[in-house]
Formats: sequence, structure tokens, C-alpha cells
Amino acid sequence: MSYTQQKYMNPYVAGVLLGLVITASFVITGQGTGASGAFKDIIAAGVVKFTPEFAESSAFFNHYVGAEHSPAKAWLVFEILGVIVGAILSGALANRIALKVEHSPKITSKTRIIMAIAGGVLFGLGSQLGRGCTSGAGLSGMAVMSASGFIAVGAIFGVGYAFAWVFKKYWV
Amino acid sequence: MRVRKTLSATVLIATGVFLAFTGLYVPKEEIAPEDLVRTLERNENYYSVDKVAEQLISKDPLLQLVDVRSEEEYNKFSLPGSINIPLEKILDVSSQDYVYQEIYNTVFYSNGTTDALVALMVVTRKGYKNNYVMKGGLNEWVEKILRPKHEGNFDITTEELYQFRKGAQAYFGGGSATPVVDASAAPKPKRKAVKRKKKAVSGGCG
Amino acid sequence: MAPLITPGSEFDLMWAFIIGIAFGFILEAAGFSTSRKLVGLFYGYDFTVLKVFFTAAVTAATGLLLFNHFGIVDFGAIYVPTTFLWPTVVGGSIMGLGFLLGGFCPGTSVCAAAIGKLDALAFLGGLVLGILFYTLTFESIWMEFRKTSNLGVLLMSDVMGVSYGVSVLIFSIIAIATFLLVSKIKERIADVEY
Repeated sequence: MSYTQQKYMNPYVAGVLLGLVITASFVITGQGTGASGAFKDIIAAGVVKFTPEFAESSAFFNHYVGAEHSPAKAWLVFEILGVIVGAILSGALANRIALKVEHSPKITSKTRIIMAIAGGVLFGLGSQLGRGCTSGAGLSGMAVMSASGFIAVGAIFGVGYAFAWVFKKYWV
Repeated sequence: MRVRKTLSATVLIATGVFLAFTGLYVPKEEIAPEDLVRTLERNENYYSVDKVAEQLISKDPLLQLVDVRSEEEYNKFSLPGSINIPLEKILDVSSQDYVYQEIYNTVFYSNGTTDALVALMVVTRKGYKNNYVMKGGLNEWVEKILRPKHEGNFDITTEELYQFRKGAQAYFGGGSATPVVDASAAPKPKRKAVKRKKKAVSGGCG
Repeated sequence: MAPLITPGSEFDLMWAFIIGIAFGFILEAAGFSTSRKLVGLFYGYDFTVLKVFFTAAVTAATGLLLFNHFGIVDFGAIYVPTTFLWPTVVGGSIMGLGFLLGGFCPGTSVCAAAIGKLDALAFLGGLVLGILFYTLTFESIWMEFRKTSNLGVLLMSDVMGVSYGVSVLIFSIIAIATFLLVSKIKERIADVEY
């Protein structure tokens, strides 16, 4: 822990602010916030650009062909660019910017990186199947009281708690 | 910290309870009766008594007051320049010059707000435009214009409002003040040429 | 009347960027850029995620209802996702495992990577691989399953058989009860240094 690091915001205050941002997003644009969708759109755009023949033959990519510049798709990408800028701002103000691998003292950095990649793969897969991740499907879904949002959040946290004991030694 | 959390939770629950028992706002293309009521609650359909008084004093040529109470009540007391269309006659052919036209701002009033609002609802349902309601009706007129009280705060707006109402009181001869202008100076009911739309209004509001 | 802008209008992407900045700033400031803080909720040593997450959801749900009450938000015009029961349950479960292993979710990993967390960058790499894997196996594995158990646009109020407003109220009460519960749990569990 760096001694200059600032304390984190009160979770309830942060929650209210985050809720207001989501509300604003709905009021201004009619949709909530999301994260995983941006990556899907970037990947789809990349596949369409570099392997157009494959994209056209693929059931998943063919509706992306010719739609790379569709504004609805660029929206999430710009939002994620904003998230990066916002996080850097907050991190800079609180002196938290530093290159490091964060992990429990009981495991090595290498183990942590492998776990992170595996977790990312699972999240990538799950978010496509579940039509959005924690923020898109979960938070924005709950904001509009959609059953889908509550089911997604229930499944994410439910499985998290059910299997927490398996991975305890890697975290605590 | 504990107090603040309890307070926040209470505010949240109170807001939740309030919202839980008020209906959802659902705008529709067609004017459904229940949505009509909500449309009518919007502020732009109302004239405050102050606005009516101000336009009467300045003899605003576009103002047309319509008293929707019974003829008996109208004869006992009415606002200067107003005409009488009892509520049940609001859709009569003879009333159309006032409620189905595009030039004047027709302001309905009754004793309270309700009957005038019913009149507005009926004509809005017909698709007629330029009709309004004097909020609070004659009750508020008497209270605010004929017997104005100072509203307490000595900021510029309430002060101006009070002075305006004092002036209006004098103009309309309320309270103990001596009328500066006698009754004959108040605008007379006007009969006017009305340009009416020939085509029937198609459904839905623009 | 919301939405104030239509998708594709000239300020659309600018708003996306601004909302993203606010989103990222708050996530980072709340401590979501630290995987061990995020995962703390599963082991009871840090409930920050749960507190922020549910406070945000309740605030947004109440806020939207409040805007609706004043006629600013039309629920017919905002995006409500369609509910696909089993794909969401399976997808959510996979994400739950991913959360437990990776210690991030996509949004928080972006924040963490932005302030230099290399594990978050690895998570993002995995995320891209996962999405690629999904897209490449889409036809053979997922396409049919993804369309199953379509329940339409289903709201919690429909599920519970109450009005929309009452469902938001119930949600708020449950959230507050959960906050009280986790603060009791937290008292019994030793702090973890991270």
C-alpha cells in the first residue's frame, strides 16, 4: 500500500452517484450503461474488417457486415473510452495509478494472471449468452425492474457464493 | 454516520411508498380517458387568477372568459367580460364560437377548478384547442384578487405580486378599497367574428 | 420527453463519452479497480461491491420512476431487455465463475487496467478470447440455446403480481435489509489486508 493513496469513496455515496449516472443515461439516451457489448462490437468490427469472407459465412457475424459504422454499435465503444478516461482521472486524483499485479500473498503473480485470463474467458462467454454483463444486463436491467436483470444478478452472485469455498485459498 | 444512514433509508422508503401508490405516467397516441385526465393536469392548461386579472386590466384582446356555472350563479356574480356557457351546453352549436376556434384564448372558470376542468376535458376530447382553465376558480379569485393578503416573505416577487393584487383588488372593486374604475369601465362581453376551422379535427393531439 | 437524444444524432456519441467518464470515475473511486476488494463480498471481508451495486440499482429504479411521475420519462421509450430465462441463468452462472476466478467484471476490469493493474489487463485479454470463442462456436453450440425460453419483456412487477411502483418499493426494502445484514456479517469476519 502506498502511503499517499487516498481512501475510497463511501460505498453508499458511490452507489447513489452511480445510480444517478444510470438514470441520466436512460433519460438522455433511453438506454443504460454497458461494458461487455463494447468488446463484442470491437471484435465483430475487427473480424468483419480482416476476414470479410468468413464474416459473411458466419451466422454470428453476417449481420455485422455492412453495419460496422452503425451508431448504436459505436455508442458502447465511446462509453468505454469514457470509462477509461474517468478511471484515470479518479486514479490520478487519489494517487492510485501504478503498474502492478494485485494478488493474495499466498499465490504468485503468475497464478493470478492465469486466473484472471480464465475468468475473463468465462466472463466473455457468459456475457454473450446472458446478453450483457454485470453492468449492462445486471445493473441497467435492475434499474428498469427487468426480470432479466434480476435473474442475471442472481445467477452471478449465487454461483459466486456457491463456489466461493473452492477458490478461497487464492483470495484470502 | 448512523443517523445519516437511517435518514437516507427513510427518505428512500418514503419516496418509494409515495411512488408505489401513484399511477404510472404512460403517454399514448390516442387520447384515452384516463390519460386525458393526466394531460389536463399539466400546467400549461391553466391560467392563474393573477394572469386572468392582469389580462383583464390590460384589456388583452385575446382573452375570452367563459363562466361554466349555471345562469343563476352567473347573474349573481361573474368576472367582467365573461360570457355564460353552463357546463351542459358546452358542446351546443351556439357555444362553438367560443370553444371551437383558433384565435382567442378561452378560459373556463367555475366556483372551484373542477367544473371548468370538466369543460376543458370535454372540449379537449373533441380536439378543440386554445381552451384553458382558471386555476382555483372564483374561490381563488375572491381570496387572491378581491381580498389579497401579503404572503409573508418580503422578497421582490411576493412584494410585486402583492402590490399587483392590491391594484387588481382596487380595479375589480373588492374588499374595502374604493373602486378607482367604475363597473362600466370593465370590459363588456364581446361578440366577435370567429374564424372557425371548416374541416373536422382528426383524432389525436399534435 | 426522454430519451432526449435519438441514437445517431450528432451529440449521441458525445453523451456516450460523458456518461462513460462519470461511470468510470465512480467505479474507480468506489474501489472497483481492486480485484481483492471486489471478491471480498464472497468471503465476507468487504461488501463494497454489494453496497455500491444495490444502492445504484435502487437509486436508478427509484429515480426513473420519479422522472416518470413527473412525465419526463416514458417507460415505453426506454430500453427494457427481453427475458430469456435459461440462457440468462446459464450465462449468469458462467459469469459468476468468471468473477470468482478473475476477480473482475468487464466494466471494473477496464477501470482497473486504466490505472495500471496488470491482472485486469490479463482479464481483458481473456474477455476478448472468451467472446471470440463464443462467436466462433456460435452456430454449433449457442445459436439454438440462446433463443430458448423467451419470456418476452418481463418486469419484476409482472413476476410478483404487483404494480410497478410497489415492485420498486419492495426492491428498496430488500436492499436496505441486505445492507443491515451484511454489516452484521462484516462485524464477525476478520479484516483481510489488501
